[in-house]
Amino acid sequence: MNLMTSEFYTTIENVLAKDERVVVILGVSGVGICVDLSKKFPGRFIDAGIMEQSIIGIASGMSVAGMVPVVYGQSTFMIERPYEQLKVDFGYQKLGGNFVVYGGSTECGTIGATHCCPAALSVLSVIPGMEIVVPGSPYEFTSLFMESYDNGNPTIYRTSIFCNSYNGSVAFGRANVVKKGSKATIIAIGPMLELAMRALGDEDVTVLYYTTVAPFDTAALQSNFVNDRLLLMEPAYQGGIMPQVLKALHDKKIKADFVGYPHEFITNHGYVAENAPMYGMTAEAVRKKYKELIQ
Amino acid sequence: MYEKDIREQKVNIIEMVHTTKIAAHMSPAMAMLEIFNVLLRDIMDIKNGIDDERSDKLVLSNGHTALALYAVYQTLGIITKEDFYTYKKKDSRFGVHQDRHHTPGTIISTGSLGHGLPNAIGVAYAWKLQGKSNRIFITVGDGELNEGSIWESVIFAARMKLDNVCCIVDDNKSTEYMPDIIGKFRAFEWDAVEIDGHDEECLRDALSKQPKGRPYVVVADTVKGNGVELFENNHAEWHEKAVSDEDYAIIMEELR
Repeated sequence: MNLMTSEFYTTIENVLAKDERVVVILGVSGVGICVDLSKKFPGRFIDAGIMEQSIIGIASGMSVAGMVPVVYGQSTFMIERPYEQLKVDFGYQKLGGNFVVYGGSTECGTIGATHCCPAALSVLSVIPGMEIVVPGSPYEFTSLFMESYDNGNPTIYRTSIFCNSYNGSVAFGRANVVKKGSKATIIAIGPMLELAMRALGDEDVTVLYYTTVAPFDTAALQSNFVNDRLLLMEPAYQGGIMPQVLKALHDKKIKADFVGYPHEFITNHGYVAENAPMYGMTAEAVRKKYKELIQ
Repeated sequence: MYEKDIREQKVNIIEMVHTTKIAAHMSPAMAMLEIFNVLLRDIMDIKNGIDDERSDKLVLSNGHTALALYAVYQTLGIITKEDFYTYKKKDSRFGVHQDRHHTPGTIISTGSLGHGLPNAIGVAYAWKLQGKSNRIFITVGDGELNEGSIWESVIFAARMKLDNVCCIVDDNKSTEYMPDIIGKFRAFEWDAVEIDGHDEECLRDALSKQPKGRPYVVVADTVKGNGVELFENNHAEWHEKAVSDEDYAIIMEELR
């Protein structure tokens, strides 16, 4: 169960009630999600059906007219299919909008490779002005959404079925220093924090927790980078945000390794947990990788 | 009614393109002049200015026809001849495609085909929610109708009963295969008429109508390169091209 999407419905109901400019457009035809909200907010909570390119295009037009669109749908179909609409209609036109997606990376892997999108974060990050939020818990989703939904920029919120037990406060565009150590710097993106702490919580490492990938908190990395060893943990293809990391540490010597999916199609129809050992996403595998990294 | 002005606009376009020695979308532009003249002068409510939020809006989903719109802007005094002569130049406000950040009268930046109509339909839907009574006019090319996003948004507009939407199809026979355009729109529950896109009276009559409760499409039968024999006889070659001294002389003799 995706607790963050449950949280989304609660949060969005509150936002719809308090902000008349907000319109929610779903692209999940036929599943009858939140029929009560469509009745409570006629015209402002709609299911447009399976037309992802036009949903993004229509949302951008609504933004032109002063509304605050919130689009909700499955990650691969709301990011990779309408990529040009995100790039041109929102990015180039510099319009505000919100895209709340579920099924990130391989979370819909049981449905098949077409429903996986481990490249989503990296392809989005090359659109100038696109903001990428990767919350690690329902609370963080609401906190980050409320902080940024009306900031005039296009923002993707990648919800997840995996939640961290971390309960510190998070802020949009800011990384959290979860722990400080001296042997290596661990960057954990969104729900990868749980795995990072299970694997390396007792090690002498600095753990930086990023719930916003773009804009990337360069200062946090620069001021907390220790030693020259870096482990980048992403719920996506390995190294997707390495360009931002390298820009931040351009004057440093780095030895890096990665935890995430290899650059290949996920075709085995497995659940994320079932596939974790194969892709080195267990605490044991991460510890092994870390030990090799600090040698 | 605007025949003399339109002839002058054609001369202005050819002279500008010849003088500045650029390649320009002249053949598509020639097909749109009657439509833009009638829209801006007789149909759209722009008495407060084309950039005023109280005004009706025009979106060029077939954005490469903006050259024709700029020529009409010059006639109407919205831009100067000097502005017009910056067309396609570095840092100009008047690019091949309009840019909402600096081109007058532009709320949607276009260029990628299949984007302008969904964007405009989003504006129309927002206006309905806001209780605004303005109309939004969108020009699309028949070739652009091959894009799936056009038909996705056509479905949405009908479902939401967006009768503030008026789409004008510039049916200049660009595409190899798009039969029965009007039938397709009607199948998606749009009100639709088909007219001669170079007949001012037909345009005025069709565009002044606003059917209740349904989006509306005017399928305008146009000729690429209209009124310039050289273009009409080889409109594919003249889709985007510069004007040589020799061609300039031939075209000017015809237009004058």
